[in-house]
Amino acid sequence: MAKVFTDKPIQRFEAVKADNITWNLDKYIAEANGGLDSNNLPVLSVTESKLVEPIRPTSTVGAVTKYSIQMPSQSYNFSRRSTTEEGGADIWTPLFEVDLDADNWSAGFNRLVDLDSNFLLLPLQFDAKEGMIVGCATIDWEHGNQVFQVQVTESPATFAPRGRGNEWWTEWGLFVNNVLVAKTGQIYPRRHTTQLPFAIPTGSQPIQIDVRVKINTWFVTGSPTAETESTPFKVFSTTIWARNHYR
Amino acid sequence: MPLITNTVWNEGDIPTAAALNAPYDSAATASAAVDGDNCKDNWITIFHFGSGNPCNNLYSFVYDGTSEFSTSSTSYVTINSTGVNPAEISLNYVPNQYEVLRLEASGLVTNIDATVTYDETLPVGDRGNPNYYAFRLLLTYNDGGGNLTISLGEWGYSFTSAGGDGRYYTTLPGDPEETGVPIGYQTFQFSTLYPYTGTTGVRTLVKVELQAKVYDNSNVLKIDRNNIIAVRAKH
Repeated sequence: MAKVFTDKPIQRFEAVKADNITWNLDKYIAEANGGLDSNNLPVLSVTESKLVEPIRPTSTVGAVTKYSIQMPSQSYNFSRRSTTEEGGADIWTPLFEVDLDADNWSAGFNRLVDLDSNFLLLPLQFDAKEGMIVGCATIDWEHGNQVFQVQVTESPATFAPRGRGNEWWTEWGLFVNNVLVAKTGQIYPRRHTTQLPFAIPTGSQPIQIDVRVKINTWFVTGSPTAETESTPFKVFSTTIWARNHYR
Repeated sequence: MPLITNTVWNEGDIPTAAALNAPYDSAATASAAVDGDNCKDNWITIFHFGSGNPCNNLYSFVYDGTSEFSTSSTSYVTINSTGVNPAEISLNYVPNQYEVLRLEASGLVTNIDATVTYDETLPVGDRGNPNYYAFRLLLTYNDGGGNLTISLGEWGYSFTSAGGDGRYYTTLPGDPEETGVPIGYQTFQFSTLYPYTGTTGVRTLVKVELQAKVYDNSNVLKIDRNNIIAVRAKH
């Protein structure tokens, strides 16, 4: 508690010691010269004009747009790769697609950079201050089911389109410093924009936030005329933002 | 730097009146400009913030009714469930440099009509596009002339579970047996940030709208509940 009291009061008729004058004054002066804290300063006194303006120490625009903005009470950190911004196409055209029957991918969580090198800089990195990190990842992706010609009657043989692979699924996870802190659960075939909100306490430390994807597919049967192949996995945009709210 | 100075007296010194007054005069001067040098680290608490929301402002649009907004438009239109209450937030403020506008939107897609989900007449790579619909957050701003707009982001969904290019040709409606399962009564949601990087005092942020479109105008997108949340992060 930043309050001080007179240590060496000077009484009536006492001889004044020079040390005592200095000692008492120094205590108050030290308090005012850097010792003031929440007990000294009035509540409801900090208004907008008394807070310094935000600064943006880092910003990059390329395959991934990234920036960090610092404010007195919080920081905002952002990373994005998108078809309508960094990818330069449109909302209907994916940034990349993975042929799940031919390309390399893992049955575990895949980093996006392992599927497409343009995502190298996507993980959000910043130096956090003690407090909370509240943020969200938003991913626009597609992993649909297959549709092909199957024989529906034997005599006469007739064929009709049928959906297959309705049980294929996709799961997204959000990792902070390589620890899984949020996941979606299994999402069944569709194009979907998925959000992964999260909130974690943090110390003053380096932070890295990344999204990774787990994909499940298999060859389905039932077509004498079409290849029983998977549909491609596609990503249209990925955004990660995090707000570091200081203690 | 508003630091108060003192005089050190040793035994035997005879202070003058001016020397005795000096620390108090110094305090009087310094106390008029107390700043961070006078305070301990981490001195501030939430109770010290005054009125006027010095750090953040919150804006919201909420439609929680059941009237459906339908669209088959292939260009973006603002969602307007009741016809008189468009999905938009009126901002009307002038941001300082490097302020952040944080946006989140969500809603409910209801019983969509998926008529065309695949078109083999389209170029390879685009044949599954008719299955798509998309949302956008559109920011209107003013730099002193007329109002201008900028897209803060677009996000997509599919009418059915069927995949895109490479699957069997069909233009049949979204029949669970024949194509993919129609996906109705599904929420949509997304969030992003908009940092203002220009000079303080130049730009007015006017409003943010939540918009939707479909790829193929044979399909009908229907939405009821929808909302937008905007946080102006200032300090």
